[in-house]
Amino acid sequence: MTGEAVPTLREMGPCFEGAVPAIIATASADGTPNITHLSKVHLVDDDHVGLSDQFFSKTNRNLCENPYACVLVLDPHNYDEYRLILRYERSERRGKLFDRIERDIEAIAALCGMQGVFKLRGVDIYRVLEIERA
Amino acid sequence: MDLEPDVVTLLESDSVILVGTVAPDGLPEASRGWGLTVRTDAEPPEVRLLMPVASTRARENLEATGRIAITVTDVETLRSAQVKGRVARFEPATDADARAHERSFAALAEAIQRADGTDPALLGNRKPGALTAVVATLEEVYDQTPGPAAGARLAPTEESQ
Repeated sequence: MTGEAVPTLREMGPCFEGAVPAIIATASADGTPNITHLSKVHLVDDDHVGLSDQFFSKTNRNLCENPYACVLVLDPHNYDEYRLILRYERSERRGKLFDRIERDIEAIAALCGMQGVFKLRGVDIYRVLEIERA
Repeated sequence: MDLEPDVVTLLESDSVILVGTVAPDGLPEASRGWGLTVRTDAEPPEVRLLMPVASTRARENLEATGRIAITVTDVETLRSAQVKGRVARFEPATDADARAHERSFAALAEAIQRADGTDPALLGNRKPGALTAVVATLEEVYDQTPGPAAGARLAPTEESQ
């Protein structure tokens, strides 16, 4: 920790625009870490973020065994980076949030020429336990 | 364990490097790494990675559990590979490491600019300070390229087991 003030989730809005891919680290029950990019972290409310469940299957398997995740998000305007410590709470497979994220994913996929590849299966909702500057 | 030459080339390229570690209580940690090199003459092969000295939690995790995951992504093609391994030792970064890192960081900034137009000056904000090195024995390598094939094992192959 640097002692610098960290923003709230709301104040970190640009980090959740998807301009720069985020990073997620998880760990299996036997303590094997896994780390990968994910296209976007979705702001849900003051205390929660959503991650799209597409096909990062090792990440999903790990989260079934160990509900904690560590995510790095980057502000595309100044390249400040933040580390979020998350705990899985629930999954949503329909509803307004699901529909919004499904549209976001298709938009990102279109930019990469990968339309139709990233099929949204669900949105996983996480409580943000801690925010720090990375 | 055999590593395909193109996998070694990717791992050693001027790419984005992500480092995953885990604390003894199971809490995972994401951080960044730099300047990965592969020692294919070792058996099993070893990877050597530069990490910021400031990444204290990652270092503590590595000392405590020894488990490491490293994902390398070419920012222009998005081709990615993930290495899983165990820490063998820590080494001080050398002057040669610092020089190689300066060159690699500049090359990565140029690649990111080609990929999405980001001003390399902006990336200066992400430049790490003092570096240290960790050497890990390589246990598995996975394809991490975005898409349905992500997670396919690249090494060891079934033929080699």
